[in-house]
Amino acid sequence: MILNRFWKLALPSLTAMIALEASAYAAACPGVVTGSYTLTADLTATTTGAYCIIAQGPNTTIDLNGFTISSTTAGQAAITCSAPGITVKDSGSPKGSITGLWWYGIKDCERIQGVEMLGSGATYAVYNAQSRPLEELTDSIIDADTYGVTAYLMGGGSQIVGNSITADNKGIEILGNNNEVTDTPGVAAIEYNVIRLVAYYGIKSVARDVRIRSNMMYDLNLSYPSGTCVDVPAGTPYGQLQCPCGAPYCEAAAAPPYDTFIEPTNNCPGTLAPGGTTISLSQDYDLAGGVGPCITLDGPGTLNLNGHYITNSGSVNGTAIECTSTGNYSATIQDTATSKGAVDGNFVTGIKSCARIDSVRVMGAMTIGVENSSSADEAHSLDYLRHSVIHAATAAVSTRLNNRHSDISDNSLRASDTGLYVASIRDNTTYTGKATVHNNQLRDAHGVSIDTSGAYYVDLQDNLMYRTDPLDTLGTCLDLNTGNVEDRSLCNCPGQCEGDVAPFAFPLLY
Amino acid sequence: MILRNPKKNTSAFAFMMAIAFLFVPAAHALNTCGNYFNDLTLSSDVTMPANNTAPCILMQAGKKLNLNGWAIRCASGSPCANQPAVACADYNGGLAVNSVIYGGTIDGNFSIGVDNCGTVRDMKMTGPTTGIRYSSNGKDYYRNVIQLTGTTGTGIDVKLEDSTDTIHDNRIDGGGTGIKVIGKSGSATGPRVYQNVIRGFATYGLRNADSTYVRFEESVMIEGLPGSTGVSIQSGNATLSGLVCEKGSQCSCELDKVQAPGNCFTP
Repeated sequence: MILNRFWKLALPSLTAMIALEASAYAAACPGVVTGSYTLTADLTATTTGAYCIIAQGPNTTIDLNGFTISSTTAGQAAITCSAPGITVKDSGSPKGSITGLWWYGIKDCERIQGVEMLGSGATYAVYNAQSRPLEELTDSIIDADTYGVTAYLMGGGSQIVGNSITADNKGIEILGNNNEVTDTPGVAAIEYNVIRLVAYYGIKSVARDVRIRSNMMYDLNLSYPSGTCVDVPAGTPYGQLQCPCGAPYCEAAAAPPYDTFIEPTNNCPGTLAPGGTTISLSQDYDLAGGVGPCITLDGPGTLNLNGHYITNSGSVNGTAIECTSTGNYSATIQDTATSKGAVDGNFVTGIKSCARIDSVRVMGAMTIGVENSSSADEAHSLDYLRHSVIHAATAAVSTRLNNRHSDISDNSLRASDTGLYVASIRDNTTYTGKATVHNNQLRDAHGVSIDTSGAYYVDLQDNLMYRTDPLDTLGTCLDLNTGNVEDRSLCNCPGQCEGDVAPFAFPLLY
Repeated sequence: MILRNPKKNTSAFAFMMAIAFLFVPAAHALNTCGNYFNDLTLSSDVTMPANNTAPCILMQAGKKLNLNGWAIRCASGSPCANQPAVACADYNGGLAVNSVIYGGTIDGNFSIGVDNCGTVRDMKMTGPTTGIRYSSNGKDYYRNVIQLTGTTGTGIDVKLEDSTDTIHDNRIDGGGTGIKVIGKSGSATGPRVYQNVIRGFATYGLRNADSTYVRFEESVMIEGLPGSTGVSIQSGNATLSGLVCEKGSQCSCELDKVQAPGNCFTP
């Protein structure tokens, strides 16, 4: 294993490694750079333990510009980043490369675009610690010695896409996803990568917010006893993996040539008519950039996702599920599986005009997660939304409630602008009392977390709003109607919620 | 309920105070830092002078301090980091476990908001390094809102020795640890810590760092700083139920995750 080769070279020079600061750089290596830096010649590190480029300027760019960074001995890192927002790219044509022996090829840099690391010389070709997680690795060729990509991801928007990765031990290993400490909604993506030769894992991840799809693995040397193509937590969304490990992850026993790589196709079923019964999905569906909806639910009855995914891997378009029942024939969307599926992909709208939603996950880049405002009849107004996780880019839920018995409770709603917008209540006369918005948690809404200003009969209790942006002068946590009643909200908008009042009643678990 | 601005109801307030003085002669209305041997009700803010070498208000054991909606503050420009705002002392046969501090504000960079007092409730604290501490025999700590400075202090750092002791309905922001508890030894039923909301902690949200018994229930830990841990316990003597947090195996519910009804939210 090349790990041993590295140390055989490195151990006799440990003393030199400790003293690297003063003498590590070959003449051509710049060492510390504080601004953007573009190579104008090949760089060579000649001292064991050398860092060739130490990028310290936040939000700067290191551009190989068609030149090469190499080492004549065991270097520490060709490029290391110690500030946020740094991009490493190669705008040259033809491209340059990173070659030679390195412990790290590129270390702790947030974005890597179109870089080639050749010659099987880097023990860790790309490495990102938790303190400097990886946001983007795209269109790069990585020929590593031992580990191809070893990284914490920055968050939901992180992506490792379109790379060719060759390594002895592991292709891609995700050490964790910092999603929960950043404000990026959605899921991280590992897609369209080609991985070969690995002995341990093709793709391994301990993070659950990662989508693994349309990757290809071939010429693997799975000699490690537990080596496998894919090792990810249960429930991780995956699909269209071409690899030789068989089910459940791999779709082809023998790897096809790269030029026959299967692109996603629209396999959506179109219209489903449950006729008052329940239709349970038995497979995932991908709108693949089509106009949609992926599923049109016609007539009364229930659509059970049953742990499956409805995605759109193409450009932003369409709706995942739209209910087209008329009159008072309400449709229900639910997911009864223990390991939930999701509506997850580049849709404009996740679930549209469906009256009842229970225990469903909607997430991804869609503009609106749940929308019930296109038609003012009973079938298309929201009767209830419960126990669901709705993440969207702009608005999590934008709805018209059906009547004063409608209920939005026990949900997690997350979007960058609006968490919950209730435009109105369709029927204010059949029942007395107020529609309920109870026990929800809303996150990241920098516009309005809960806006019920257009609906008079609404009772709001025990809602938790956090990671809002009280500094946004246009933003607020609660925008209420004079007819609303509100109690026990918890949020960080001055004067609206907790203020200096302790949470006498508890949100979420009340 | 914290009487947040009694000045707005001056006449009613004065009347109530007069009645209080008539029928509770042991309760003094004094408004300077010092040692107090009887129950005390504040009638104005108290400001700790510069370079004070003792807690601003030192209550003798078993006595009650009613802040009455008023505040204990630092003098302008005066660092208070070396002293507590309020402390309770065992004295003349009394026990600090029976002391009660309630109903007002502590505002300033005190080392500790309230130290060594058995019960602290309905307090708002802004700026202390540690909010509430009692290393001997605490009793009840509830409905406090504690905003800490720095990333090393603790919101509520207490030892609870009885199964009936509680920490509940507190809101804690910032600091290193939200609530740190040494629980009861040698008993299968520990004190109960429940329904607290802890936010922005640097190291731990809830912590039981020894093998004592404590029950952590139905608390929410949100927005912990990178690298922090929502719940940290050292042994199975600390029982966990209904905890909600953003990430962590000790929580029965992770925010933003689909949960089967009943696992996370009470239907």
